[in-house]
Parts: sequence; structure tokens; C-alpha cells
Amino acid sequence: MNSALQVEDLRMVMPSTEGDLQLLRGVSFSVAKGEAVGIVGESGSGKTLTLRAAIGLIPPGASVTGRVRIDGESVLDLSGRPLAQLRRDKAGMVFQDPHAAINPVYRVADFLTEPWRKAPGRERAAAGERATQLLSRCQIADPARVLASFPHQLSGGMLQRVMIAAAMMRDPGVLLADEPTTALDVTTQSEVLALMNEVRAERGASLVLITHDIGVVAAICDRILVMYRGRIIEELTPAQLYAGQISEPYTEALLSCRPDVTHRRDRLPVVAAGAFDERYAD
Amino acid sequence: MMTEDATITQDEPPRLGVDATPAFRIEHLSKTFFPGSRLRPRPPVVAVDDVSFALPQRSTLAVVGESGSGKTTVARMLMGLEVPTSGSIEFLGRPLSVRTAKDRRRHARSIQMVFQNPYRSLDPRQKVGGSLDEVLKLHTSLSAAERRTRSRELFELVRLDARLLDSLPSNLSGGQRQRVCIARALACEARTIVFDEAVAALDVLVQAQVLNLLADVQAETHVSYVFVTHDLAVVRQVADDLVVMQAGRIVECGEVSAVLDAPQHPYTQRLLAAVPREGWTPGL
Repeated sequence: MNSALQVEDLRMVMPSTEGDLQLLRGVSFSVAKGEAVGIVGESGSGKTLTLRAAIGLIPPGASVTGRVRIDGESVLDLSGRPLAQLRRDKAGMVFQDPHAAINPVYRVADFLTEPWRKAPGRERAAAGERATQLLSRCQIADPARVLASFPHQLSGGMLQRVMIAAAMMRDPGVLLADEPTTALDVTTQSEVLALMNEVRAERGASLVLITHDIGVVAAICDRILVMYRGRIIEELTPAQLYAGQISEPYTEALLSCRPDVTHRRDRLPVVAAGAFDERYAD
Repeated sequence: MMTEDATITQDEPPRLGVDATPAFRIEHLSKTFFPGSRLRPRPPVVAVDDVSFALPQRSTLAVVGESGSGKTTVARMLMGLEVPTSGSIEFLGRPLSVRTAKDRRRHARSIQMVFQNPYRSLDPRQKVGGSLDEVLKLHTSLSAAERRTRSRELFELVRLDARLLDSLPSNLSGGQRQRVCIARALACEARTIVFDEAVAALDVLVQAQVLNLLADVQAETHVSYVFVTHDLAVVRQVADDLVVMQAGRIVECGEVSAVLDAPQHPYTQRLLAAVPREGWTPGL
């Protein structure tokens, strides 16, 4: 048993006035220890729901079936303190908008060492040291200044590094990142991706990365999962992607509709909304 | 179209294209912010430092740079939302002045802005047709029935079903909402539209549609566009000219193909090197 994260037949249904919405329609995949897996798809395809369900974050009112295992523990059967412990120790989460995800009234130091708030003094001091180490590992030149800052005093790129450091504080086996670089400019994106890659490789952690930029996942992931309407419709490697070994028209469309930085096209290919509904119906 | 050589000399504003009167021309524009309070002032921040460029009518200019480079401040000054510390802005040959609400409204007729987040730029309790109608009411003397017809035309222009006019924003997808925002920007027949990272958050399939649509609208209405963005692939696809900003200054500018094919400034080279593509690995 060497998978860090295992998702089996995950289904999510949300009741609404217009009938039940099938948000996830049987998602299955596993991530081996040390492996990086990327999930791409348009908004509403269920990629964020899948990632959040993996750590037991279920939207209110939704009913979930299936199994999720992180490091052998069945996440969907946990609640309360054991679930909180799992989120703290075994799965680090990085969100899209660091300014929205980090409590604005605490200093960065408090945010990073929160899990040790009730620990005895010695351990708390050790946590502070670890925070300093991780921040310098995350290419932050002046950790002391950053630790003493409030989130609003830092730029998006800087705060995203803080969030990565926070996710790595307890040395989790899995790092889950939801559009971690979408809000950043390209040079900062490159730095943050490189950093996530390095920190992860160094500690042998697995990565699940969600993005809508297929170029980003192809650059740092071992495998790419393509989601559409609550299901994984294709799985391929970056090499297959660039070699054009794509079997699903939706994946093809995702790749061909991107504007290309090397040349201008007369018109971008247009895919009508709902063009794939029939192909990927139940 | 703007300058022959890729590096700009700040003393000589870039030359103009074919149109005699540009959509706008800014010269030696600077903006300094004075943060902190009057009692505890903090050091002044020079957000924009001696920036000059012009946008010919019916063309598209991209302004790129990382966060903090001053690109959004330039856009806000164009919109009349910030007052320049020094320098001049001219619209269709006339100097920009927005001292009164009336000035502001007149200015809004020549330039409109589409913001990054389509989820926050529409009133969640107002039907999207209503927010379009509001703009038409403010800027035109059309009757209610004429406004309704015009709204339908605008929706047709952005390829939205006219039946969606009676929907609330929450019933529309992100791409549909962004098209409503674009229709709204087109409603008062503005001569220039500024897009502040307005296509970055869209899914690629929707983004492709929106970019094609903007090209069509430009061909039909002769509007000019300013794209404030950090996505160089989008720049290549839509823009004619490119201005690269760093720390408040223009470090490079020229035709898009010239700048992107042979970037001269190290910063432009670094931006291009950071675009994910086949064989690319992120670097620190």
C-alpha cells in the first residue's frame, strides 16, 4: 500500500429546487507517494469539490458517497477532532487567493504556529524556529520581518509563499493546491511553482495541483487528469499531451483554444457551450 | 506602429499610427502616492514615473508588468479615477478634465473599463438587463422601448441570448457575466475600453470566445482597447502594440510581434521566459 491519497467512486449530490444536481459522478484516482498529479477542467467541472472532499470539506447540504483514504485513514468517516488532526498533520492545503484564505487579524507568526498554540512552551518555541526555517526555505529573505507582519502588509506572491510554508509546517504526506498561482503574475508564478516542487521533492510529499492552465500542470506534474461535468474523462502524461496522444475531444479543445505566446492566430477555435454534453452524458 | 526601435526614450513620446487623432495620448505622466496619515506620514511612493504613449483609434494596446509596476494606476488615471501628479492626458485631441460629476459622465462616454472579477462587478440583486438599461438611461436620451431594443442588440453583439436579459447574475456563468460587463462597456459607444485583467480568470474555452468577440466588435465599431494584463499569450493574440512597465516606468515598447519575437530589456526577457510551454520548468 504505497498510495498517499486514494479516491474511489466519489459521488456528490446537491438537492435543489430544480431536482438533484450531480456534482461529482464517480471520481476515482490515486496518488502514489512522492507523485505529482494535476487536475484540469473548466469551472464547474468538480475539480475543486474533489480536492476539498479529499480533506472532508463538504459543502453544506450535499450528500457524499465513495471512499477517500489519506495515509490509510478513511477521511469521509472522520469528524471533529480526528478530522482536524488529519487536516493539520497529513494534508497541507494551499488556496487560490492567499489574502482571502489567511485570517487577516493575526500576524503571520501566529498563523504559522497556530497548531502549537496550546502546546507547552518548549514545543511552541521549536514551532517558531521551524516557521523561520521554512520561510527562508520558501525564498523569503527576511523571515523575521514577515513573521511579524499582518497579511495585508505582504504582496500576493509573498503571502502565497507563507501559505505554502504553513501547509508544510507539519510535514504532511500530501500537499493539495487549488489554483495556487492563478492570482499571481507570471514571474512570481514560476517562482511559486518551482518552490512547491522543490519543497515537495525534498520531503517526499505527494502533490495534487488544480489549475485551469494546462501548461502549468504539464510543467510540474507526473500525470494529468482531465475533469468534465463531475467525472475524470481522460488521464495522460505531459509527454503524451505534447506529443498529441490525446483521445478525448474535450482535452483537445482545452489545448487548442489557448492563445499561443509564440504566434498570433487569425481566430481562436470556438467550441460551443454544451458541445460535449452528449459525449460525456451518463 | 508606435516606435521604430524597441527601447523608448522618455523625452520623445512614441510616434503615432495612421490616424491623425489618437484615441488618447498621455505624455510624461507621473503619479506619486503619499501613504500614511498627515501626522505619521510614510515615505512617498512613485507609482508611475514619466510615462508617455498614445493609442491610435481602432487599435489595441497591451500594458504588461508585474504587480506593483504601476499598470493599474495608469489605467485608473485614464479613467479619471486618479488625478496625475504631473503630465497630461488627451482624449480624442482634448485634454482630460474630470472635476465635476458632469465631466465624469462625459468622460465615461469616451472610455469604459471592464474589471477582473465578473462576479463582483454586477449587482447581485439587479437583473443584468437592468444594469444595462441603467447605463443607457444615464448616457443616452432613448425611450424605454428604444433602450430595450438597444439592450437586445448589445446582447446580440456579445453573443448572449436576449432572454438572459431578465436573469440575475447568479444564474449566469462567469463567462456570461463577463460578456454582460463587456456589453455594458459597449452600451454608451465608448471609443476606448480598458480591460484590467478581465480575461485572465476565464476558462480557456470561454476566453477564446471572448477574445474573438472583441476582435469582431473592434472591426464593426472602430473601438480601441487597452489590455492591462500579465498574460503574454493573450497579448500576442489581441494586441497591436505593447508597453512593458517595471517599477512605474516604461522599460520597453513597440509592436507586439517585434517586442515578443526579440525582447530587448532583461525584464521583458524574464517575463517571456516565465510563460509555461513545452519543455519548460519553473525556476526561482
